[in-house]
Amino acid sequence: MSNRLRQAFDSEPIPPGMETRIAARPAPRRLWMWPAMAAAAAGLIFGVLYINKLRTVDAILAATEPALPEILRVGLRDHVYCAVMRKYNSAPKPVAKLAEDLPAKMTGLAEVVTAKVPPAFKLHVSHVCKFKGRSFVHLALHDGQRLLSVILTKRENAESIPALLAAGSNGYEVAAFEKGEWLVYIASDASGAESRSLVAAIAPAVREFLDRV
Amino acid sequence: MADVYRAAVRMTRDRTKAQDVTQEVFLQAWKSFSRFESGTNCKAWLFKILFHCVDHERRSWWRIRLFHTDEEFLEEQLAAPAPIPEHLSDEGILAALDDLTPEHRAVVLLTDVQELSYKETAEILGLPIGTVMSRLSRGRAQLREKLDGVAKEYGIGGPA
Repeated sequence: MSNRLRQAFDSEPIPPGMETRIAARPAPRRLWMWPAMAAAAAGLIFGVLYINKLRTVDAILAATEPALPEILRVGLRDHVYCAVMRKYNSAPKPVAKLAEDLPAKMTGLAEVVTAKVPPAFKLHVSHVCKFKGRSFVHLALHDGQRLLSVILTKRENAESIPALLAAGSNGYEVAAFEKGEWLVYIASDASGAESRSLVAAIAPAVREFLDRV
Repeated sequence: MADVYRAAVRMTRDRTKAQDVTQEVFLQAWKSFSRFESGTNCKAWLFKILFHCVDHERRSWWRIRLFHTDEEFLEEQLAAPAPIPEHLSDEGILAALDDLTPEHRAVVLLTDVQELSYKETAEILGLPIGTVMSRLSRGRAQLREKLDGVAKEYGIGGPA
Protein backbone atom coordinates (compact mmCIF):
# COMPACT_ATOMS: atom_id res chain seq x y z
CA MET A 1 0.00 0.00 0.00
CA SER A 2 2.76 2.35 1.00
CA ASN A 3 4.70 1.85 -2.23
CA ARG A 4 1.67 2.36 -4.42
CA LEU A 5 0.64 5.41 -2.45
CA ARG A 6 4.14 6.78 -2.80
CA GLN A 7 4.09 6.11 -6.53
CA ALA A 8 0.81 7.95 -6.91
CA PHE A 9 2.05 10.74 -4.65
CA ASP A 10 5.15 11.18 -6.85
CA SER A 11 3.00 11.49 -9.95
CA GLU A 12 1.98 15.00 -8.92
CA PRO A 13 3.92 17.25 -11.33
CA ILE A 14 6.08 20.00 -9.89
CA PRO A 15 5.23 23.39 -11.43
CA PRO A 16 8.04 24.49 -13.73
CA GLY A 17 10.37 27.07 -12.24
CA MET A 18 9.08 26.66 -8.71
CA GLU A 19 12.48 25.82 -7.33
CA THR A 20 13.94 28.95 -8.94
CA ARG A 21 11.10 31.05 -7.57
CA ILE A 22 11.64 29.72 -4.07
CA ALA A 23 15.36 30.33 -4.27
CA ALA A 24 14.85 33.82 -5.65
CA ARG A 25 11.99 34.89 -3.43
CA PRO A 26 13.06 37.67 -1.10
CA ALA A 27 12.00 37.51 2.50
CA PRO A 28 8.50 38.95 2.72
CA ARG A 29 8.63 42.26 4.39
CA ARG A 30 6.29 42.57 7.29
CA LEU A 31 4.89 45.81 6.00
CA TRP A 32 2.95 46.52 9.16
CA MET A 33 6.19 46.48 11.10
CA TRP A 34 7.71 49.46 9.34
CA PRO A 35 5.05 52.01 10.33
CA ALA A 36 5.05 50.57 13.85
CA MET A 37 8.83 50.77 14.06
CA ALA A 38 8.82 54.27 12.58
CA ALA A 39 6.16 55.34 15.09
CA ALA A 40 8.13 53.82 17.95
CA ALA A 41 11.32 55.50 16.74
CA ALA A 42 9.52 58.83 16.32
CA GLY A 43 8.00 58.42 19.79
CA LEU A 44 11.42 57.72 21.23
CA ILE A 45 12.96 60.71 19.46
CA PHE A 46 10.15 63.04 20.56
CA GLY A 47 10.37 61.64 24.07
CA VAL A 48 14.10 62.31 24.23
CA LEU A 49 13.64 65.78 22.74
CA TYR A 50 10.83 66.56 25.17
CA ILE A 51 12.87 65.42 28.17
CA ASN A 52 15.78 67.47 26.85
CA LYS A 53 13.52 70.48 26.48
CA LEU A 54 12.23 70.13 30.04
CA ARG A 55 15.79 69.88 31.31
CA THR A 56 16.73 73.06 29.47
CA VAL A 57 13.63 74.84 30.77
CA ASP A 58 14.47 73.72 34.29
CA ALA A 59 18.05 74.91 33.90
CA ILE A 60 16.95 78.36 32.67
CA LEU A 61 14.34 78.66 35.40
CA ALA A 62 16.79 77.54 38.06
CA ALA A 63 19.15 80.31 37.01
CA THR A 64 16.45 82.96 36.67
CA GLU A 65 13.72 82.38 39.23
CA PRO A 66 15.56 82.91 42.51
CA ALA A 67 15.93 86.64 41.84
CA LEU A 68 12.24 87.09 40.99
CA PRO A 69 9.21 87.35 43.26
CA GLU A 70 7.13 84.17 43.28
CA ILE A 71 4.21 85.76 41.47
CA LEU A 72 6.41 86.78 38.52
CA ARG A 73 7.76 83.26 38.17
CA VAL A 74 4.34 82.07 37.03
CA GLY A 75 4.51 84.03 33.79
CA LEU A 76 8.24 83.50 33.35
CA ARG A 77 7.79 79.72 33.41
CA ASP A 78 5.35 79.74 30.49
CA HIS A 79 7.47 82.27 28.59
CA VAL A 80 10.55 80.02 28.85
CA TYR A 81 8.68 76.76 28.26
CA CYS A 82 6.54 77.91 25.34
CA ALA A 83 8.27 80.90 23.75
CA VAL A 84 11.99 80.59 24.47
CA MET A 85 12.09 76.87 23.61
CA ARG A 86 10.73 77.41 20.11
CA LYS A 87 12.09 78.07 16.65
CA TYR A 88 10.82 81.09 14.77
CA ASN A 89 10.60 81.42 11.03
CA SER A 90 10.74 84.66 9.15
CA ALA A 91 7.24 84.47 7.72
CA PRO A 92 4.63 83.92 10.38
CA LYS A 93 0.97 83.47 9.51
CA PRO A 94 -1.28 86.55 9.40
CA VAL A 95 -2.45 87.81 12.79
CA ALA A 96 -6.10 87.05 12.06
CA LYS A 97 -5.20 83.46 11.19
CA LEU A 98 -3.10 83.02 14.33
CA ALA A 99 -5.87 84.52 16.45
CA GLU A 100 -8.14 81.66 15.42
CA ASP A 101 -6.31 79.47 17.92
CA LEU A 102 -7.37 81.68 20.82
CA PRO A 103 -10.57 81.16 22.79
CA ALA A 104 -13.39 83.04 21.06
CA LYS A 105 -13.61 85.80 23.63
CA MET A 106 -9.83 86.36 23.42
CA THR A 107 -9.58 86.55 19.63
CA GLY A 108 -9.30 90.34 19.66
CA LEU A 109 -6.29 90.23 21.97
CA ALA A 110 -3.95 89.42 19.10
CA GLU A 111 -4.89 92.62 17.23
CA VAL A 112 -4.73 94.70 20.41
CA VAL A 113 -1.21 93.57 21.26
CA THR A 114 0.25 93.71 17.74
CA ALA A 115 -1.10 97.24 17.34
CA LYS A 116 0.89 98.39 20.37
CA VAL A 117 4.30 96.85 19.75
CA PRO A 118 6.97 98.23 17.38
CA PRO A 119 6.27 97.07 13.80
CA ALA A 120 9.36 94.83 13.79
CA PHE A 121 7.68 92.55 16.30
CA LYS A 122 5.61 89.95 14.47
CA LEU A 123 3.11 87.70 16.11
CA HIS A 124 4.25 84.08 15.81
CA VAL A 125 2.27 82.28 18.47
CA SER A 126 -1.25 82.87 19.62
CA HIS A 127 -2.79 80.01 21.52
CA VAL A 128 -3.70 78.46 24.84
CA CYS A 129 -0.90 76.41 26.36
CA LYS A 130 -0.37 74.47 29.53
CA PHE A 131 2.66 74.19 31.72
CA LYS A 132 2.73 72.12 34.88
CA GLY A 133 -1.04 71.87 34.93
CA ARG A 134 -1.73 75.60 34.55
CA SER A 135 -3.37 77.08 31.45
CA PHE A 136 -2.14 80.23 29.78
CA VAL A 137 -3.40 82.41 26.97
CA HIS A 138 -0.15 83.10 25.24
CA LEU A 139 0.93 85.49 22.51
CA ALA A 140 4.57 85.32 21.45
CA LEU A 141 6.12 88.00 19.24
CA HIS A 142 9.56 88.07 17.71
CA ASP A 143 11.46 90.79 15.87
CA GLY A 144 14.28 88.61 14.62
CA GLN A 145 16.36 89.19 17.72
CA ARG A 146 14.15 89.82 20.70
CA LEU A 147 11.33 87.77 22.04
CA LEU A 148 8.23 89.09 23.72
CA SER A 149 5.40 87.20 25.38
CA VAL A 150 2.06 88.48 26.55
CA ILE A 151 0.66 85.87 28.86
CA LEU A 152 -2.68 85.72 30.65
CA THR A 153 -3.61 83.19 33.27
CA LYS A 154 -6.50 82.97 35.64
CA ARG A 155 -5.80 83.90 39.23
CA GLU A 156 -5.35 80.90 41.49
CA ASN A 157 -5.75 80.72 45.28
CA ALA A 158 -4.64 83.93 46.91
CA GLU A 159 -2.56 85.21 44.02
CA SER A 160 -2.64 88.95 43.76
CA ILE A 161 -0.65 91.74 42.09
CA PRO A 162 -1.94 94.96 43.64
CA ALA A 163 0.19 97.20 41.41
CA LEU A 164 2.30 96.77 38.28
CA LEU A 165 5.21 94.63 39.28
CA ALA A 166 8.41 94.26 37.21
CA ALA A 167 11.78 92.63 37.70
CA GLY A 168 14.66 91.27 35.68
CA SER A 169 16.94 88.32 36.09
CA ASN A 170 19.38 86.37 33.95
CA GLY A 171 18.55 88.42 30.84
CA TYR A 172 14.78 88.06 31.24
CA GLU A 173 12.46 90.95 32.09
CA VAL A 174 9.05 90.17 33.52
CA ALA A 175 6.26 92.59 34.32
CA ALA A 176 2.87 91.65 35.69
CA PHE A 177 -0.44 93.15 36.71
CA GLU A 178 -3.88 91.87 37.45
CA LYS A 179 -7.19 92.64 35.87
CA GLY A 180 -10.31 91.00 37.22
CA GLU A 181 -9.84 87.26 37.33
CA TRP A 182 -6.71 87.51 35.15
CA LEU A 183 -3.03 87.83 35.89
CA VAL A 184 -1.27 89.42 32.92
CA TYR A 185 2.45 88.96 32.25
CA ILE A 186 4.69 90.68 29.78
CA ALA A 187 7.96 88.82 29.53
CA SER A 188 10.85 89.49 27.19
CA ASP A 189 14.57 89.27 26.67
CA ALA A 190 14.67 92.94 25.75
CA SER A 191 16.81 95.24 27.85
CA GLY A 192 15.33 96.81 30.98
CA ALA A 193 14.52 100.14 29.27
CA GLU A 194 13.09 98.53 26.16
CA SER A 195 11.06 96.22 28.29
CA ARG A 196 9.63 99.10 30.32
CA SER A 197 8.57 100.88 27.16
CA LEU A 198 6.96 97.70 25.81
CA VAL A 199 5.07 97.22 29.05
CA ALA A 200 3.99 100.85 29.02
CA ALA A 201 2.57 100.41 25.55
CA ILE A 202 0.95 97.02 25.98
CA ALA A 203 -0.39 97.03 29.55
CA PRO A 204 -3.07 99.77 29.16
CA ALA A 205 -4.34 98.26 25.92
CA VAL A 206 -4.62 94.79 27.46
CA ARG A 207 -6.37 96.20 30.56
CA GLU A 208 -8.84 97.93 28.28
CA PHE A 209 -9.35 94.76 26.29
CA LEU A 210 -10.01 92.71 29.43
CA ASP A 211 -12.52 95.30 30.56
CA ARG A 212 -14.54 94.46 27.46
CA VAL A 213 -14.26 90.68 27.78
CA MET B 1 11.20 20.44 -2.20
CA ALA B 2 9.13 18.13 -4.39
CA ASP B 3 7.88 16.14 -1.40
CA VAL B 4 6.96 19.29 0.47
CA TYR B 5 5.08 20.68 -2.51
CA ARG B 6 3.30 17.39 -3.19
CA ALA B 7 2.29 17.04 0.44
CA ALA B 8 1.09 20.65 0.38
CA VAL B 9 -1.05 19.85 -2.68
CA ARG B 10 -2.56 16.87 -0.89
CA MET B 11 -3.23 18.83 2.27
CA THR B 12 -4.57 22.01 0.71
CA ARG B 13 -6.12 20.33 -2.36
CA ASP B 14 -5.23 23.52 -4.19
CA ARG B 15 -2.10 23.74 -6.33
CA THR B 16 -1.83 27.52 -6.18
CA LYS B 17 -2.19 27.53 -2.44
CA ALA B 18 0.27 24.64 -2.26
CA GLN B 19 2.88 26.69 -4.11
CA ASP B 20 2.44 29.56 -1.66
CA VAL B 21 2.64 27.20 1.29
CA THR B 22 5.78 25.56 -0.11
CA GLN B 23 7.43 28.93 -0.57
CA GLU B 24 6.45 29.86 2.96
CA VAL B 25 7.88 26.59 4.29
CA PHE B 26 11.27 27.21 2.76
CA LEU B 27 11.21 30.81 3.82
CA GLN B 28 10.43 29.83 7.40
CA ALA B 29 13.06 27.10 7.25
CA TRP B 30 15.61 29.61 6.04
CA LYS B 31 14.67 32.08 8.75
CA SER B 32 14.68 29.56 11.55
CA PHE B 33 17.52 27.39 10.35
CA SER B 34 19.43 28.13 13.54
CA ARG B 35 16.75 26.14 15.39
CA PHE B 36 17.30 23.01 13.33
CA GLU B 37 19.16 20.45 15.40
CA SER B 38 21.85 18.89 13.26
CA GLY B 39 21.72 15.12 13.32
CA THR B 40 17.91 15.10 13.41
CA ASN B 41 15.69 14.34 10.44
CA CYS B 42 15.70 17.39 8.19
CA LYS B 43 12.71 16.07 6.25
CA ALA B 44 10.68 15.74 9.45
CA TRP B 45 11.69 19.28 10.38
CA LEU B 46 10.53 20.60 7.00
CA PHE B 47 7.26 18.72 7.33
CA LYS B 48 6.75 20.15 10.77
CA ILE B 49 7.05 23.61 9.25
CA LEU B 50 4.78 22.56 6.40
CA PHE B 51 2.04 21.37 8.70
CA HIS B 52 2.42 24.46 10.80
CA CYS B 53 1.89 26.56 7.65
CA VAL B 54 -1.06 24.45 6.55
CA ASP B 55 -2.45 24.62 10.05
CA HIS B 56 -2.08 28.35 9.93
CA GLU B 57 -4.05 28.32 6.69
CA ARG B 58 -6.84 26.17 8.01
CA ARG B 59 -6.68 26.58 11.73
CA SER B 60 -8.73 24.23 13.82
CA TRP B 61 -8.94 20.82 12.33
CA TRP B 62 -5.71 19.56 13.87
CA ARG B 63 -7.10 20.19 17.26
CA ILE B 64 -9.91 17.72 16.82
CA ARG B 65 -9.27 14.71 19.00
CA LEU B 66 -11.27 11.95 17.49
CA PHE B 67 -10.82 8.84 19.56
CA HIS B 68 -8.45 6.95 21.77
CA THR B 69 -7.84 3.28 21.17
CA ASP B 70 -5.70 0.63 22.71
CA GLU B 71 -2.23 1.07 21.22
CA GLU B 72 -1.31 -2.63 21.09
CA PHE B 73 -4.46 -3.40 19.15
CA LEU B 74 -3.60 -0.58 16.81
CA GLU B 75 -0.05 -1.85 16.32
CA GLU B 76 -1.53 -5.14 15.13
CA GLN B 77 -3.92 -3.41 12.84
CA LEU B 78 -1.21 -1.16 11.47
CA ALA B 79 1.26 -3.93 10.84
CA ALA B 80 -0.19 -5.07 7.58
CA PRO B 81 -1.80 -2.46 5.41
CA ALA B 82 -3.84 -3.97 2.62
CA PRO B 83 -2.25 -3.77 -0.81
CA ILE B 84 -3.61 -1.38 -3.40
CA PRO B 85 -4.38 -2.97 -6.74
CA GLU B 86 -1.55 -2.11 -9.16
CA HIS B 87 -3.97 -1.37 -11.97
CA LEU B 88 -5.58 1.59 -10.22
CA SER B 89 -4.51 4.88 -11.72
CA ASP B 90 -2.45 7.42 -9.81
CA GLU B 91 -5.29 9.91 -10.15
CA GLY B 92 -7.72 7.45 -8.62
CA ILE B 93 -5.42 6.81 -5.67
CA LEU B 94 -4.75 10.50 -5.13
CA ALA B 95 -8.46 11.27 -5.37
CA ALA B 96 -9.14 8.67 -2.68
CA LEU B 97 -6.33 10.11 -0.55
CA ASP B 98 -7.67 13.63 -1.00
CA ASP B 99 -11.07 12.40 0.06
CA LEU B 100 -9.86 11.44 3.52
CA THR B 101 -10.55 13.86 6.35
CA PRO B 102 -7.62 16.26 6.76
CA GLU B 103 -6.47 14.75 10.06
CA HIS B 104 -6.42 11.21 8.63
CA ARG B 105 -4.86 12.38 5.37
CA ALA B 106 -2.05 14.09 7.27
CA VAL B 107 -1.17 10.95 9.19
CA VAL B 108 -1.32 8.72 6.10
CA LEU B 109 0.85 11.16 4.16
CA LEU B 110 3.50 11.33 6.84
CA THR B 111 3.67 7.69 7.84
CA ASP B 112 2.76 5.75 4.70
CA VAL B 113 3.97 8.11 1.99
CA GLN B 114 6.86 9.92 3.66
CA GLU B 115 7.66 6.92 5.81
CA LEU B 116 8.28 8.94 8.89
CA SER B 117 8.13 7.23 12.27
CA TYR B 118 5.08 7.46 14.53
CA LYS B 119 7.16 9.56 16.85
CA GLU B 120 8.16 11.99 14.12
CA THR B 121 4.59 12.14 12.86
CA ALA B 122 3.34 12.74 16.37
CA GLU B 123 5.86 15.55 16.84
CA ILE B 124 5.02 17.15 13.50
CA LEU B 125 1.30 17.13 14.16
CA GLY B 126 1.58 17.84 17.87
CA LEU B 127 -0.36 14.68 18.74
CA PRO B 128 0.20 11.77 21.13
CA ILE B 129 1.61 8.66 19.41
CA GLY B 130 -1.58 6.75 20.27
CA THR B 131 -3.64 9.28 18.38
CA VAL B 132 -1.30 9.02 15.39
CA MET B 133 -1.76 5.27 15.39
CA SER B 134 -5.50 5.43 15.71
CA ARG B 135 -5.74 8.01 12.96
CA LEU B 136 -3.49 5.94 10.74
CA SER B 137 -5.61 2.87 11.34
CA ARG B 138 -8.78 4.76 10.59
CA GLY B 139 -7.18 6.58 7.63
CA ARG B 140 -6.01 3.37 6.03
CA ALA B 141 -9.43 1.81 6.54
CA GLN B 142 -11.10 4.80 4.93
CA LEU B 143 -8.59 4.72 2.09
CA ARG B 144 -9.23 1.03 1.45
CA GLU B 145 -12.96 1.65 1.31
CA LYS B 146 -12.52 4.53 -1.08
CA LEU B 147 -10.10 2.59 -3.26
CA ASP B 148 -12.55 -0.30 -3.40
CA GLY B 149 -15.09 2.19 -4.62
CA VAL B 150 -12.67 3.53 -7.22
CA ALA B 151 -11.79 0.02 -8.30
CA LYS B 152 -15.44 -0.84 -8.74
CA GLU B 153 -15.96 2.31 -10.76
CA TYR B 154 -13.20 1.08 -13.07
CA GLY B 155 -14.75 -2.37 -13.11
CA ILE B 156 -11.86 -3.83 -11.09
CA GLY B 157 -12.32 -6.33 -8.25
CA GLY B 158 -15.51 -6.13 -6.19
CA PRO B 159 -17.72 -9.01 -5.20
CA ALA B 160 -17.46 -11.96 -7.49
